[in-house]
Amino acid sequence: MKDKMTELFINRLTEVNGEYVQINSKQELAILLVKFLKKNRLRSLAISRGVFSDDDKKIISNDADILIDFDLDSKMSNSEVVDLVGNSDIGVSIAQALISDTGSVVLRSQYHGDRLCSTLPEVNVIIWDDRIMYKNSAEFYADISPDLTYTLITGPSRTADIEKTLVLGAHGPRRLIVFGR
Amino acid sequence: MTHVKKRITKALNNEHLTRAVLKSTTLSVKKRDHLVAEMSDFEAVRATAREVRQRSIDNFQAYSDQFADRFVAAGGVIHHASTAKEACDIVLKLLKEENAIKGVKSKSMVTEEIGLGQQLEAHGIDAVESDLGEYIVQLAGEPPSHITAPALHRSRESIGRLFADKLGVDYTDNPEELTAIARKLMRDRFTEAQFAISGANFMIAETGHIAIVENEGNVKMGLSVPPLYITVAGIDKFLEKPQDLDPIMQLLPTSATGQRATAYFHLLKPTQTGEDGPEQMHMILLDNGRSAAMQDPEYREMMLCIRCGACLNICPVYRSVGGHAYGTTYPGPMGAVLSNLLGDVPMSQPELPELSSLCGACKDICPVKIDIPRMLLGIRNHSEKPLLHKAAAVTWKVTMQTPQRYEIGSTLFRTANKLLSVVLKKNPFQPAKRSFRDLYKARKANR
Repeated sequence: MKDKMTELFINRLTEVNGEYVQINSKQELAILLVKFLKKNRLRSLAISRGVFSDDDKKIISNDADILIDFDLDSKMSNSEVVDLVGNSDIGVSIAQALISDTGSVVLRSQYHGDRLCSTLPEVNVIIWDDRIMYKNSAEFYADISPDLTYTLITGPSRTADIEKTLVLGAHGPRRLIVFGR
Repeated sequence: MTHVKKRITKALNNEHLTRAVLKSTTLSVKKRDHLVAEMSDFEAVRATAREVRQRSIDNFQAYSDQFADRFVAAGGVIHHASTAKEACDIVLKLLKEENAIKGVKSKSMVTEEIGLGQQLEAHGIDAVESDLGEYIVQLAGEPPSHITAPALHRSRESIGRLFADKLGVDYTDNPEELTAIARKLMRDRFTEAQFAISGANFMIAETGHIAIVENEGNVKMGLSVPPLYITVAGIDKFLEKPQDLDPIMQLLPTSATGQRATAYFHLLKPTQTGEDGPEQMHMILLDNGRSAAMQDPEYREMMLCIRCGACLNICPVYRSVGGHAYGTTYPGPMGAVLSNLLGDVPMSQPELPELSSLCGACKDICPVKIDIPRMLLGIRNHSEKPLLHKAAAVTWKVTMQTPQRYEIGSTLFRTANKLLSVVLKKNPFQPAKRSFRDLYKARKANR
């Protein structure tokens, strides 16, 4: 059962061409993600730090290729990292919170790779697990930590620079899908 | 004919341009109006946003110092530039120190203001504009014609021809295909970029965050890949605290493009080793006339501007001629004032305030209620007029004081015109055959 703030979030997100997938338990997350991959014929993933448990990763690995996992200490050069994330079908990130009345996802860009995973792949999947939902942006601004870097994402990358015609996927992901619990 | 008049004539004769400008500005205003109608507290948000911006310019020095302390403590480097040249020199020095010759730029009016693109090119540095609109005008060798939509003056056909000519791709006027071409080219460029340069929408004094809005993800890409990140911003862009973003960010995307929120809104800080972000982050704080403008009692109100571009979209002059007719970095009503405040020589664009009907639409639509018409009139009154202009104004003033003088003046004007038409063998002013008063009298007599 979704509450009113989540419903408003979903409405606002879909207004800007974002998508929302309901998950009922944390255990269900990996299974639903695999289903989503199969349905959309997607195969490879780049995963930000702290998104999945080891058990989840085992489930995902059975049906997909995790090209890069930022949980693991990597000695790769920046260009190798960029190459691997760029060649992934999906980047998976974790939301710090959602903002109901704008349909925005709050991402912290804390660890190496956080921003790349939500930038380079064609599809960005964002997991909302902590269930922190701000009613509006004012609540978020009041809660900003001076030590962190943030990006609010509201829908997929887009442009209207040619005669105001909306085109998705200008530089970043063409699809933004929030998996919410 | 003056340069401005020549540019206006050229714009009015360009059917592609006038059609594209009218179409885009009309759509932006329509989308903006739709969202504003949904906001029950719109006027209250506007009033709060204005208070926030007023506080910003009243305290810009203190906020600048506070921001710099926080930014440096987090590992960033602050540079101060008094002039456009100083700002460009700092960027060139930073790039030279890192042997950086290839990079990306994201849309920034301040870097346009200081002519950074030309300076980089002159020094052999290859900096590609990564915002699609900016990329289009860079390819065309043109300046942007709008502060939020740089290629607004170009039709899809002209962009298709430009891409075919300059990039050697097959002609298409499909926006999706044109965007895909630019996306692919830009991907390669981002991967090899040694630096990224951006502007900033705001800087937060209390926390040291830089706030940047964008839709395409090119700023995000610039933050993710290149090791060196340079931001150039005006010293009028400080906000005291993160909470000040609330009214401003409710109004900025709404007024600019009719969006509730842009696709991306970054709150950036310098990053430490192992964290996400560029290895080096530099911030260049540009004055270029701003501190004087923020202390000028007559024109400081202009510095409240949040650069949404709504006044351009609604202005009947801008909608007819587009941005290039103004001949300055900042066009439209805000540009006609701001261009006279910024730079080395104040009031250097006295003709620009003439590009206004003084209808007041810019003031009505401005999210922070800047009284642009008042300042347009102020600059008009201060500017040196040609002798003929002065003589005409004095004659008009004297003639219009009583009905009798008006009648005498009108008769003299018609007689002079008749004589001139004999001498010049053409009728220079073509007044109506009978005056309004004559017609009125005749009709009254016939009743």
